[in-house]
Amino acid sequence: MICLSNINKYYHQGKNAYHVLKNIDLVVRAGEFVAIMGQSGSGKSTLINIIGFLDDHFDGDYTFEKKNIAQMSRQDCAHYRNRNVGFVFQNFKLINNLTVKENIAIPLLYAGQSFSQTEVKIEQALNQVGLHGYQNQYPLNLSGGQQQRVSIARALINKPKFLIADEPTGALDSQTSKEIISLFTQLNLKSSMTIIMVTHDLAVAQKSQRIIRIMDGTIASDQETGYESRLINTNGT
Amino acid sequence: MLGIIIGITSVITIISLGNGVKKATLKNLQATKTGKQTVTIDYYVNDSNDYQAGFDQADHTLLKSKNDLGVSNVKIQRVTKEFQITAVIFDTNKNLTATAVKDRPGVRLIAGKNISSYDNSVQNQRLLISKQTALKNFKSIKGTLGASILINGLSYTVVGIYANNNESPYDTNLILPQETYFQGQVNDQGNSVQITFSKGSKISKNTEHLVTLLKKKGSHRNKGEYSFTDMGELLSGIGKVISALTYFVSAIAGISLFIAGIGVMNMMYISVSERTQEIGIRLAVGASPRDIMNQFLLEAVLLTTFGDLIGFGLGVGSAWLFSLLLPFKAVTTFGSFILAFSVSTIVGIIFGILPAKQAANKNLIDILK
Ligand SMILES: Nc1ncnc2c1ncn2[C@@H]1O[C@H](COP(=O)(O)OP(=O)(O)O)[C@@H](O)[C@H]1O
Ligand SMILES: [Mg+2]
Repeated sequence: MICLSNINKYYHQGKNAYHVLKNIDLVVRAGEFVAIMGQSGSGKSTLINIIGFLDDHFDGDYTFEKKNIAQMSRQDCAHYRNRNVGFVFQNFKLINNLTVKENIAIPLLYAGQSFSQTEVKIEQALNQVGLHGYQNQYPLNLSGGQQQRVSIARALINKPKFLIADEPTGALDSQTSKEIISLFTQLNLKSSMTIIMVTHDLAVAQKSQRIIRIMDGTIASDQETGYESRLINTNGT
Repeated sequence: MLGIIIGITSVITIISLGNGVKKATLKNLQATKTGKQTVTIDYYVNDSNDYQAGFDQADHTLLKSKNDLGVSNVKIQRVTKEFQITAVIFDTNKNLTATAVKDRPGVRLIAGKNISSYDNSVQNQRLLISKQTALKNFKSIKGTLGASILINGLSYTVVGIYANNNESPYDTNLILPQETYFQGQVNDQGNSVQITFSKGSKISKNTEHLVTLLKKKGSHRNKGEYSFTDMGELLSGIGKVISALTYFVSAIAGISLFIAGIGVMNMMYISVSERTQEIGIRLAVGASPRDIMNQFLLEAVLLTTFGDLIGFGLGVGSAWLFSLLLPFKAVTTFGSFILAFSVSTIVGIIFGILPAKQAANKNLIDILK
């Protein structure tokens, strides 16, 4: 589904150019749950921003379902993002002066749906993340875990092809982290959602199918965690 | 915001007044398509000793013949209020003022009794005299009651004396019954003549021609003057002032709209920078740069049209206030509403576009870090 080949990414600061991603080759198949680990500043966010169509300034080829992303216009890129990716960020990224319902509705509205069409879908998405009846709450009245569930509901609302999660548990305590990760594994197992998640936490990473380690902008290792261990862990929580 | 309100207020005020003048001028310069228009020509005697009606049958015929000037009907009107008469008191001619009434006049009597509509209908030769006139011409109040006054060959009996008041039309020396007073006169004699013009005539100009004609051929041209109030001229004068004002007000409006625009731009820039995170989130979940730009443009336009609505209300109000002082009504049309609406929308778009573009072109990666 996702195919990166020979990706290079530079940041320019004044006269200096930082080579942040170096010759990255990566294939992610539909239904995979991938964890990306690595030290701070190693280029994890940069990599998944490219995968999630947030960043189209890179060298190399990115084909998503046989379509070349690098050649897309900004407008098409936004459209693609809206239809194909759901984002979950470390600090939730909810709009605080909108209600839960309104926050979740945003991707639907940009997909061209009217408010009246969104109601039922929002309710379903909230049920899916275990926040039944929270439609009219404001984000700041919710706990961190609840806010992250809202942002997951928002990420799922347009039935995307894959989820991008950049340190989704980074701002949460360990108990809440477990709940969020269990939500991811369920999504992956039950709905075969493709998930690409950046994390620092090995325990979290081990709930995934495959762990990729990034070091100084290159892929240092790429290992399967093993189906069995996943099952045991999922049942354990 | 204040700029928008001031700008739109002044635009609407001046446009409404301008429309009002235009409408009133048209109405007075030219008979409208549907209605016929009338104009009154008055006659003023030069020597007030020499009272007589300025228009008679001959004038009627003369004016009526002027079909080429659009005259369709001529009606000589009796003057019943505050006219001059010559009265004979103790064999002496006195120049007095009088009002002729059909019904009991609303005056305060200090002696005697009032005259009534009955006196009028049976042409009783009775009249009322003011206290001042009574004291000047008779020895006492009591001596005045029952005295005789000769007017146009008829002898009237004084039946009541009323306190002078400044209230028109009873601020005259005498009050007498209309039917009695006019009984000797032919119906078509009087000091003013009402002329009805046929559709589409140029009233101001044609009335002027008629006055010139009367000066040459009018039956009483030697003893008085003819005149008419040219509303057309008056209004076109006001019209000139208004159109001069229009430039001035347009300048004010232009400046305040410009200042308003700068204000809107500033507000939008602040809003864009305060909502950077929101912009980033919206872009991340699929808003295109054009969506973001439209969102902020719409907000700018909402801001200005809100100001526009307030300004429009104030403008209509102030035009109405001004028109109380002027001899015509302000006219606010749907067209001026549309104009104001477009102006404010355009201001919103022009001054909103830069901040909106800035919002749309923000770097997503930098925002989301
Ligand atoms: N907008 C930017 N401009 C310049 N340098 C950047 C920018 N974003 C990230 N970097 C640099 O690129 C490197 C990788 O960043 P990032 O992908 O965010 O790392 P990680 O997510 O693994 O912590 C870091 O050294 C960071 O300083
Ligand atoms: Mg990062």
